[in-house]
Amino acid sequence: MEVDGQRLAVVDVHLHTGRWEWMPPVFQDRLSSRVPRGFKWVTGILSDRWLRGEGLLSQLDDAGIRAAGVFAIYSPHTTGIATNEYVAEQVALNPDRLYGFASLRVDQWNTNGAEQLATLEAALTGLDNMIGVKLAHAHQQFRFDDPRFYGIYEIAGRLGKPIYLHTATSPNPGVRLEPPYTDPYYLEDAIRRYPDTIFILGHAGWDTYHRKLTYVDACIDLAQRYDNVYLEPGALGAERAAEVLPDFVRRIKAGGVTRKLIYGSDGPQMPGYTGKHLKAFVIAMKDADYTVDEMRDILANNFSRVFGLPEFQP
Amino acid sequence: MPVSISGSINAPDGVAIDGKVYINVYHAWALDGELRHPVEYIESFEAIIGRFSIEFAYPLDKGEGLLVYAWLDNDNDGVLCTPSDRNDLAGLTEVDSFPAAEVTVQIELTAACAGPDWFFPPAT
Repeated sequence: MEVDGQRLAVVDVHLHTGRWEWMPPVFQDRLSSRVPRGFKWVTGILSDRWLRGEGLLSQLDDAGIRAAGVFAIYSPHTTGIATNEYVAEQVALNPDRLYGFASLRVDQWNTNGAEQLATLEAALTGLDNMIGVKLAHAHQQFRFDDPRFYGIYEIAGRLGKPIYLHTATSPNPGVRLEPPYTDPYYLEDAIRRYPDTIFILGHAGWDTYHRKLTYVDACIDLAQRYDNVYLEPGALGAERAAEVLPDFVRRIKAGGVTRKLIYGSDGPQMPGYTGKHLKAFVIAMKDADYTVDEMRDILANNFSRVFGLPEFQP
Repeated sequence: MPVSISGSINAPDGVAIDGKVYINVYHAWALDGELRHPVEYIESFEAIIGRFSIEFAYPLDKGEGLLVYAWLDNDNDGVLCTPSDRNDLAGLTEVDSFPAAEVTVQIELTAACAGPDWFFPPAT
């Protein structure tokens, strides 16, 4: 990415992987709705191709993105499952460019919570290139303030693996919309209790269901007050957020939290999405008079610093 | 399949009971294989503490079993607890002998700030 004659490295912390067969019917229907009627039968084939490691790398190449985070997810209520092992297989294709985030099932916690915690720890320590944890409370149907799940934050802090947590809403069917699953203030108790755990507030409070910046100020407030809180703007560069993106980047700069923002897109979605998201986001930052150094931080260096990785070169 | 649920929602002695009660009904389990999961949402209703009666269409093709979950909005803010207000109580019951066209349940509001996953599936 070139800005004012300078080439900047870009890391996209937020990419998904998976397989069609691991998606619930409601999500398959949603993806198929984007395809013309006569071509719906190819949705699964194309989806698998886009979501594999080779497909992710192709999108990164097309967008000029140097590296990316790839998320595991166990969300059978909404978007499906991408196992830790599958993520590890995909990132192994190019471990200098693809970095894995492990996750765990939480839907039967009373019966297998201890087992799930052990599985998470094993994934973080035993699978190559797992640099963080991915959680999505609204998708996975558990409250931010439910102390039964604080063991996840303990593990992450102890192992030095930052946690990416989905905040605010989602347009996907089955996702919880109530504040205890979407409002980041419900996380504050955990943030305070686990100061060694890094909490990355995903989507930075972008209420995509209602198309409003409902929880952005809350995210910025938490990032201002807590050293262990960071933000990520996934999906704010998408068309759905076009009207609010300028306001979002202005709030980030006015809030003095540009060194807390780690760029991510919530891709790959469809071919070309990651590149379009990046372009829209960079234009918004330019229009808001971000300095080149601020953009360099957001696009790559904040990621390197938070995850303890070398700075990426353009 | 049309289902009629009647019964009672009860709060502990000493708890203010003036607020609205929100009721959610769920499939106990949905889907198969790795995607099989509990607490699949069906529909929501409103009631008050005490006797209640609701009717809804149970989607037979979307899951199995029936859970009835309720919470009491003590402070009338429309939210089950806030970070600072931890007093709204919730409860859940799993319906025995389902499917059935008419069921009777008794829900005890026992846990503060608890979503349905707090209760189900229960620890073995």
